[in-house]
Amino acid sequence: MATLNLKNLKFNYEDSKFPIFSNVSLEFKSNTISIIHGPSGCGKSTLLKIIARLYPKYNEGVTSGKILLNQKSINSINEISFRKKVAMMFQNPNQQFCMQNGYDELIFTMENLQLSKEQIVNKIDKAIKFGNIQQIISHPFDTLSGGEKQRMALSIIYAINPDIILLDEPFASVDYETRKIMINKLHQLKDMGKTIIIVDHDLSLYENIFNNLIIYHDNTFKSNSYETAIRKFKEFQLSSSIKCSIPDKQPIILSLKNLSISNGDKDLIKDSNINFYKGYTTLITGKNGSGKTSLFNTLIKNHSFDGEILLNQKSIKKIRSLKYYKKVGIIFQESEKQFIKLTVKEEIKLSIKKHNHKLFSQTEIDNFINSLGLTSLLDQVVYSLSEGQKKKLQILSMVIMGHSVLLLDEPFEGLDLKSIKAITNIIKLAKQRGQTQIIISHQRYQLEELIDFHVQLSNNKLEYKESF
Amino acid sequence: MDPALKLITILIIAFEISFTQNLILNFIIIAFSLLILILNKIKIKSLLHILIIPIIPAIGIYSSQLINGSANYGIILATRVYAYVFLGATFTKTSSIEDLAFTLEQNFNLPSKFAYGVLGAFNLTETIKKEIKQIKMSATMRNLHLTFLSPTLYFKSIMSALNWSNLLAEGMTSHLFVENNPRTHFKIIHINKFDYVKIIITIVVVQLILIAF
Repeated sequence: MATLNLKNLKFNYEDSKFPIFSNVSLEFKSNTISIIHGPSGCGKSTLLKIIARLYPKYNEGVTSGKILLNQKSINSINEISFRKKVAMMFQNPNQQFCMQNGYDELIFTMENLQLSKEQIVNKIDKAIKFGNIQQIISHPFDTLSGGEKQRMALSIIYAINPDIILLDEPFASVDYETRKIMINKLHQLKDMGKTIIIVDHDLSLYENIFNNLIIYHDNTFKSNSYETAIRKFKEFQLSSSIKCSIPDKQPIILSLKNLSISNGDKDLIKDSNINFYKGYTTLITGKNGSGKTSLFNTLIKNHSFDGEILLNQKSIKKIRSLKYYKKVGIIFQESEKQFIKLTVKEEIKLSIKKHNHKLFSQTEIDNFINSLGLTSLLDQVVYSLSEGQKKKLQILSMVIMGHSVLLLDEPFEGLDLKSIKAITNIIKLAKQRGQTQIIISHQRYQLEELIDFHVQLSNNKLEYKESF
Repeated sequence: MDPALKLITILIIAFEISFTQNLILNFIIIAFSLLILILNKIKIKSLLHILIIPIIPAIGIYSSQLINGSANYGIILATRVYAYVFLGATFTKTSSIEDLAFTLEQNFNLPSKFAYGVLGAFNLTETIKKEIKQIKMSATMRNLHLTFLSPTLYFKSIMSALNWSNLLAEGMTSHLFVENNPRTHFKIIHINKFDYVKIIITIVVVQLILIAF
């Protein structure tokens, strides 16, 4: 049982006069779930990390104001007892794991809690039940899907059993069904008396469990009335299912024949045949860990496969990588993997200079930079951007390249609705100018406007469906 | 044998052959290490690796001695290169880095931050390899061809390694790792008393060979 109070909290970077946020005064009680919502880059993750006492230690920032845990300033509490009371799940799970797999990571964490061997075994059992992670616990992290890693990270938080739980976009890469299950788990935690604070761009499914909706406005975070909150949640209600057509005689660009791929000893796709069509956007859906990202890795020649893949009727095994990557590009799920240069400006310039096909004029690109809110960030180092800003820069740089086929792996992860709209417009324009796009996305807002066809990956088969 | 004790023994032997000129000892070390490697079922490929790669420095040293020094000394130096490589290989092929880190932490009072540092450093080589491959591919997709001579490649990988080390520290803190705070150990590593006897015998035998030949 714990109460957390923020009093006049303000944060700015050392070299900047303007605070990221200021005048933040909020109260979080036990037995409650609070949701913090706001556009990307407004400082939501920063706020959580300040509460978790990770910032300003691990970044160059200055805070002022007070954070009280049970009426006691958090800076007066000794480190380990603080960490036992307040635990945070990061937006990017890769940044939180320091061992090779979930099992070792749990042991490492429990050793830090100074538990005996028997207690550790017991804790691990409980965490496995809570997060349903039996199947994935001993797999190396780099073979797990984004959603599986998030489930693992939440199970570790559960094992720590803190009073205050901070979650940064905890369900960004889990599928809708898993999201439902996980949100239910949060309800259980709340009933156990925990104080839960969640940062999320996506407000769907929270309306029945939330106690407090906090929205970023005018440089600060403020609590909202129940009515305002309910109105806001309505924006995120999903239309049940969206109709789309089944392709028929359109020109084929990519053709998969008797394709089989596996991950270690697990079969992902078995003996599947499917075509992708030129100048259309195809959505690929499937459960967490079903093999969507592995399929993309296969399409960029980075994962072994059986069967045949033809690009414009030519086997991709016979096309040299240098030539192939001029035609087929990918937007990785992890934005940082995409960056080559140091600053935002250099990254965009590189794409303009080296593009394969000129899809956009300079004026159009300037407009994109503006609509994505990147104008004021041009001189910033890419590593210092927020996850949402990184995503936007990454997508822009890759779309400018003008590949004939662009694969997009969760392009909307961690983005607010306004950014999703801006990105959708850019991608649509690229399609109108001839680009073929294949998208993996759990996020469904705005997809209606973008998607032409839908392929579902289930039971190791790829199949076109009439709705998504 | 305990990995840390094994490492210490190997370092002592390597140190000794650096300051003595004993051809027979070098050969005995190579033969004995080879025997251990074979008993530990080393793969033929790895064995060829450690046999072939040191040829370049070995021949280099030997031929420079042949021209400017004595051929006998050249042979000693060349076999010394092999003795080092085989000593190192017996260590890496027969012990796990995790066990080394854990025994250093539990039995040799190494602060846990260094023990996990050792682990991190070993995992880092794997990370850097993957990172370089990743950077090359991302660059190719942007029509930028990085060869292994391109400074961008190294600049980028150093940048991401630095960034990664900072993130690792933050990640460890978030999972309750606090410097100098006591921790429990799930896997407890005891040093067998017999291990000390093995060290002493090994080192005595090395001295005897040195005196005898």
